[in-house]
Amino acid sequence: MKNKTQNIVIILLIIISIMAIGYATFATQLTINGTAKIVGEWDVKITNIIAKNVSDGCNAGTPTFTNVSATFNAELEKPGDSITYEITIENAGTIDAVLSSITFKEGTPNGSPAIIYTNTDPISPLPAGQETTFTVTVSYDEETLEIPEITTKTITGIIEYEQE
Amino acid sequence: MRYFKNKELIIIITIYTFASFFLLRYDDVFYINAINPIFWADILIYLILDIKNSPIRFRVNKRYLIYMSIIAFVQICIYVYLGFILGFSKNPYSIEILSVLKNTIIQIFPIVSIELARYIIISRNKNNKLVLVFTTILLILVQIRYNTLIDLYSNKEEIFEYICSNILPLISSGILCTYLILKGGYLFTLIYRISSVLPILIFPILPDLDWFITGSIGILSPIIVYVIFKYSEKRDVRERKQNAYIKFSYLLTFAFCITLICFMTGMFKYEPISILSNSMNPTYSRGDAIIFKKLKNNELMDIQKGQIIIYAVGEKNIAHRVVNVIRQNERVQYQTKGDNNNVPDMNLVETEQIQGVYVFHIKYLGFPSIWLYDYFNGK
Repeated sequence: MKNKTQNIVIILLIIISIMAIGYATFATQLTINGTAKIVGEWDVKITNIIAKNVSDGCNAGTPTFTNVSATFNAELEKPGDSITYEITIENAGTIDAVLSSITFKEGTPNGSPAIIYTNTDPISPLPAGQETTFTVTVSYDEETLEIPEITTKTITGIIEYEQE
Repeated sequence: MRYFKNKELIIIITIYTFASFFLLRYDDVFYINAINPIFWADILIYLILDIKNSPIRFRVNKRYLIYMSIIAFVQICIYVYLGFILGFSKNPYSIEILSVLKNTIIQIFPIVSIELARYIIISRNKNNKLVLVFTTILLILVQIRYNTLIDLYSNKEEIFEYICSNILPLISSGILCTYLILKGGYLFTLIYRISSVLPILIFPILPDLDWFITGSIGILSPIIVYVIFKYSEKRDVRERKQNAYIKFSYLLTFAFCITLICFMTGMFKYEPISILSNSMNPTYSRGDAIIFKKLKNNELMDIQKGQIIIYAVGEKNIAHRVVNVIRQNERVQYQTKGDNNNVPDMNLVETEQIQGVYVFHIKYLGFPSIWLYDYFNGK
């Protein structure tokens, strides 16, 4: 009986401890992003955005960018239309950078479900002095049979690099 | 009338377990909303007929039935109470009458059928340990959503969270249900299982629990129920003395687990955090764990130069020393710097970002977290 109890207690303690360690790992991470001992220059920035593969009749607008953001306004005419934007990121610093995360969030209120988007990932790690590109493709869902009530959608992409 | 035999029932559930793997991959929404409830509803009809005609009867101990009902009630109360501590969020399920009915069918049918199937198989094989173990494992496997596991396969962090918050509680509760069946039939398990899903079906708001708390409750709760049932029987004096040691062991373990859960999730005034970098060397280093004290709103303005503060940047926390306090009208900002860094941090820290102030640190306690972090990040 005592052995059985001991086994249950030990297994329980091990499981809860491993979960607690996991929780500490995911919930409360200390970061060294840009705050570690600085021995080099950290400068990862957006350097260009261009429209590619624009379907006939669509307007890719004039995409703009700053060091930390790129903006575009795509006008799609009919189901099946798409526009691909190519964004260039340059590591102009002296420290190699690794891609920490790339996430896309839709704005609120929810935009049109007929507008869909896909993206490729920039390369990682991005060595100092080199640049990489990735694309975001915005499409008008080709299975849409009628013009949707909402015809716009705001999408925010967040690309995070950190020191390798 | 031809009823299910044990073997047939086990074979059907085994086949369905394998089939669910592919069905979930093919169309998980259709599987969850249609195939699964229909399958279990069919099984349920046969099981009810079988139980009605079965010569085997468990005598339901009324005392245990009262215990089980109280446990179920307390379980729901604790669940709701956690919401007052950690906050509530809107129930993702609709509480319109039709939706509640639909969700009840989707959730309750499988639970009732699974527990009746467990009862039928176990009641006829009480002395066959192999069948007991196999049935317990099978009825755990049939409830796993394999598509989620496969979808999360490439993300080690999420799969860890999913296993801890879903699979481990399922295993814990599966073992308990087999024990409860042996103890007194299917009524206990039905009360226990249904009370676990009841809040999700009918409450408009639910406690906002993260994976760690969800998993911990899911694992601990069945073990607590097991201990209550196991050691509440009337025994002689000698046995009672022997049990005192075991009860004490369990009590100590539960107290430790609950304290650890509360401590890790920040329910106390003090919270731990592990250190990933050497930016604060020699005060503390990578692998140490620091304990910080959470501050009230009015205390945030009183932080002094030289104190170490823990502040949030996005989803991550940084613990660095305040090197300058900048006061402008009613606004206070803090300039921070790692003791081992040669320049201050780039951005000033706003009071809203501050999580707390450093109290003390424990050497090397944070290393398990760091190893796990490195593993999940492929380092």
